[in-house]
Amino acid sequence: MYPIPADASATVQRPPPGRRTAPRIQPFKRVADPDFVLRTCLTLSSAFRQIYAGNAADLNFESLYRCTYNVCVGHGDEVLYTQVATTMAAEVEKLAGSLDSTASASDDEFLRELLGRWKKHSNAVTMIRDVVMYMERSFVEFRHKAPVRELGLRAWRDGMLRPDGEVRPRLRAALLQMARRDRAGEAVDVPLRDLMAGATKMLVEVGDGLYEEVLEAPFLDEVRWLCAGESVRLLASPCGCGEYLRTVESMMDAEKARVSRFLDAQTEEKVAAVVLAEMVEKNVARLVGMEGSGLASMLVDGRYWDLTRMHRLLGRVQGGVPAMRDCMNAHFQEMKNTAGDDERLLSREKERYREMINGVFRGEASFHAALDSCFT
Amino acid sequence: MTGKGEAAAQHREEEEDGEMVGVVKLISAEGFEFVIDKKAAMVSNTLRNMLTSPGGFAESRDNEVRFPEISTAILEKICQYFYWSLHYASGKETAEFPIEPEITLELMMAANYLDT
Repeated sequence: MYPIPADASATVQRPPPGRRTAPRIQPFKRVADPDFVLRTCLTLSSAFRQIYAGNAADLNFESLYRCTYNVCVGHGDEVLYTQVATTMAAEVEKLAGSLDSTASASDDEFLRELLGRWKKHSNAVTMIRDVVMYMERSFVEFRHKAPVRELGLRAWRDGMLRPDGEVRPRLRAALLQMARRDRAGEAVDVPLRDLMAGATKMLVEVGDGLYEEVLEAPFLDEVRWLCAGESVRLLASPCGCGEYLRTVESMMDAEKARVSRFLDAQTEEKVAAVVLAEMVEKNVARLVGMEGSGLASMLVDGRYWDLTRMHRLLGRVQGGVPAMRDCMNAHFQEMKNTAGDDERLLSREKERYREMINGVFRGEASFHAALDSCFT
Repeated sequence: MTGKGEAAAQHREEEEDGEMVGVVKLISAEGFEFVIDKKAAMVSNTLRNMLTSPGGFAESRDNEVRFPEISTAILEKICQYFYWSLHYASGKETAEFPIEPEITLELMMAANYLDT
């Protein structure tokens, strides 16, 4: 049997003084103390501050957890919830304030400091959440309030990443600078790249469209501007359609690689779309119909790699494939006219093009249709 | 009152050469110490959070947790529950966990407290 101590008055809540019970079911007794909630909340707040200061090793989890339990059971959950939010906000303010002193430091230092503080904050939020888990389980879920982790993210967003603050422009500048150096072929050290990747993860985690606004949009704008310039330059030069498309593809791949090094994966597709829109979509007709190097001459010369590339790139923009189809139509017509009555030649050409469409253009249905409609 | 009593032998786990690796000590209100596997303790979400919290509270450092408000009888029952839970977790066999009616309320409250 259980070793029942003589004084079996130990129940989970604090027993009212002087009550001696035999082992039977206890009725519910609550210590009615209006200040209790407030006092306990203050205790918890100072514990939170200690957590932020990194002195958790001196704290006793169980007693803090018990404080939360007692507060919630004493109907103080609302008060505690607000306390958690305000303490976090205050601590983030402090962290933000101390960051300003690094305003003149190099990008490298700045990022390191920022990420160090972010880590501290994230850990503190997790620890606080563990301590007030009872509140989270009962109050937060029951009343559909934002969970503690969410409060932490909001505090960080409003405290450290204010729209009018210095952190956002600094991050943007650091990223663009890094991207420019990378484009120019300078090696960007791995630690710096990792810091940037860390900053990206931080912004994505905070959410709220911050990553898109602070890092992604400026990066894409710069790529757009660069592509527009390059496009004009190339088209004015004597390079042919094939070479132009080759340059487009290599630029696209380079930018995607850049994104994978310092930005978030979601931006890869977006940057590819930007490159294609600026360099290909705007010039579809011109590229396809280019004299001496456009689609028609590629077909005649059998430049299979160029043809596949054209199909691959134009397939990703609006109106790309239809333009190719129209050009092919015209080309087939012209060929039919030149061949005239030579049945053998015609059927040979038809076969050749059919194979080409299957092989090079991966069986594109509209091209087959064009071929058939022309040669019936 | 720090009586170093231990409950029935089936709860006691081997101490490896005096080190408390993989075990934690749960101390009841009366000072009884229950030594159980960490794995058993993790059945309770509260204890799991406590022991795996990033900052490292005093408990995870010393590997012992005091419960000034949980009595020995209840704490012992809870330790039994942890092992019962681990044993039947696979779901292949089932058995009833025996609970005496007198301790039900306290046990449920402790279970709620420990998120078990």
